[in-house]
Amino acid sequence: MKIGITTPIRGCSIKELRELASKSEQAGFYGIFSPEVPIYSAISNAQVMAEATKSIKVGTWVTNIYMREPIMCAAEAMTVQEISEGRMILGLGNSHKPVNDVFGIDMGDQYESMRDYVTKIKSYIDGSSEHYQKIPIKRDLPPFDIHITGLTERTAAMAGELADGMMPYLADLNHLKNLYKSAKLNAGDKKFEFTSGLPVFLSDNIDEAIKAARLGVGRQALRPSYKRVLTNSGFSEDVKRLESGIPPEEAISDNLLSQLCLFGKPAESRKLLEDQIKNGATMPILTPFAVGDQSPMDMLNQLVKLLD
Amino acid sequence: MRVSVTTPVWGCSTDNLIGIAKLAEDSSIYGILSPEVPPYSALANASILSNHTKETLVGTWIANIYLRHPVLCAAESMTIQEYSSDRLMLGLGVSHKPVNSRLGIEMGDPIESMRNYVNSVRSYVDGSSDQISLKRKTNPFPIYIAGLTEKTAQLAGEIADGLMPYLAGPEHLKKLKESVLKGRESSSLSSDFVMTTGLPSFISEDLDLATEVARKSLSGYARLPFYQRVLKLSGYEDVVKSIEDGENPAEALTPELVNELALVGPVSKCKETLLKYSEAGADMPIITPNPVGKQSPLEVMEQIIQVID
Repeated sequence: MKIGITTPIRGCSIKELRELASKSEQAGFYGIFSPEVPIYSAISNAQVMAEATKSIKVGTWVTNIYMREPIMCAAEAMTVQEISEGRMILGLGNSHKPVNDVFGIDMGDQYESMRDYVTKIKSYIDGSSEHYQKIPIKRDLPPFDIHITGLTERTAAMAGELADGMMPYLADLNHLKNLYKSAKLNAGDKKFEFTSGLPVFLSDNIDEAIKAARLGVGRQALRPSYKRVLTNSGFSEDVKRLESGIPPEEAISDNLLSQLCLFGKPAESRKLLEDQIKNGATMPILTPFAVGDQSPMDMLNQLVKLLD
Repeated sequence: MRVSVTTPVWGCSTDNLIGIAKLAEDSSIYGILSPEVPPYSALANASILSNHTKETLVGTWIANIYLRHPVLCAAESMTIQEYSSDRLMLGLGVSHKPVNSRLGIEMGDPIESMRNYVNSVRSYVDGSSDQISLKRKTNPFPIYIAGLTEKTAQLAGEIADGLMPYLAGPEHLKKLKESVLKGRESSSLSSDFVMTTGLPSFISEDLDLATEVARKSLSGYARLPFYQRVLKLSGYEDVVKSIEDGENPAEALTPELVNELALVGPVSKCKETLLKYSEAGADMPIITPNPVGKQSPLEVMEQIIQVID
């Protein structure tokens, strides 16, 4: 069973990043991925983790395609691939309109932007880009897997066509099945990674874990792309309550938590993880959130208990 | 004299990068900086350099401002600053129109683009930007900007902590320094300004061979408009004119030109050239390594260390 984890969404120090990567490797996780919330760079973090480990996969979950020109994304990912000796997984996403608006970024057609970005990156990696006709400096490296977020069936289908994996998040089992089906139709027989992002709130204090889960999911739920995936997963009422101004502590239902999150005591939180694997997830990716005053290492220690 | 060195302009393996970093750390080299010719990232390289050094400064020479959003540039730089325990020098430039055009990048007004970019990066680093909700506690790092003309030198004096010209002759360097001082008059910055100068090196006991290699190697630069301008400003109008008229740059670049603007030939001669630039006002020459014959990146670095030590 391949299980990936992410580093804390809201960042951590370099020292913590190295320790998290090293301990995740020792614990037996398949991969460790960095989110990209400014003012942190997911690829820089992946590079730091690559230098602190020897066998675990390292990567991004997920890098915002609007933050770097594709050639720079390819260059930085190639450096991680080189220093990790082939352990890089590049997760790419469009981020969210409210986030990109803040930074003055015009997203254009998100779907076409992603298609163009992935196509260009591949051409920079395999040397087929016209760029190399003028600048003949190719880096002789094995290609690395590119995953793209896929919250809708349309983007999942594009992932199947263009990428080596998909990275949905906050999708329930039924929606996940539909997404995987869409990707599979285009992926055919090629090797393809069906990941699934799961927010995780682990603690022996159940009440605190539930409170943290409602807050954690509630804060993310109003971003347009997450609203859509929650609606597609059957949680339109939760979304409506949040939109009407009801605080997350009241708006997020027990049903949503039990179908989208791991929360509470680690030993009692595995069911959803097992269900996702049964339903086709080849690599669940666990995203830890702090319960109470948990440090990044406390959160990882809780995740490790899931492997027991 | 503080002397810094760049890693190979056309890139090298990460193993070579690590080897170069270790050589630099064991020598009197002040800083080791990475160029940025895609598909290499100067910041990714600087991160590697920082992980394999303890005291030598690390940085970029020079990251292209059009390839990353300023918040991403700040983020990656802050990671290196934290990783290196405050040894980062961030060199920023606008690259070249032919390079950016090929990547579909519209440069706009390069001067204003640079001004906005530097100010944005600083605001993300010091946390004063209201665009970011997450704050990172890292110490500020010096920001240098590339500048070949008096106008960009004045901008550097105003907004940056250092200037990074390249292929500027000693007399032109003096003029750039005067412009920096002019810009500093209207600056709110209080840092000690660092005047660098980029010097390509072609070190070999065989002066004729080194000169020929230099003429050929620098011919690529002579095709780029920004460098043609700096060559003119350094007194080589005739050379540029002949290139504009169609002469092969490798033939148009004279032995006199490459011997003035680069470290060419035996170690003792290169030491003299380096001293001339120091006397012209360079606080920190930055040597860019080039092989003469079949020198490996590490062998070239060993030659440079002989010039500096």
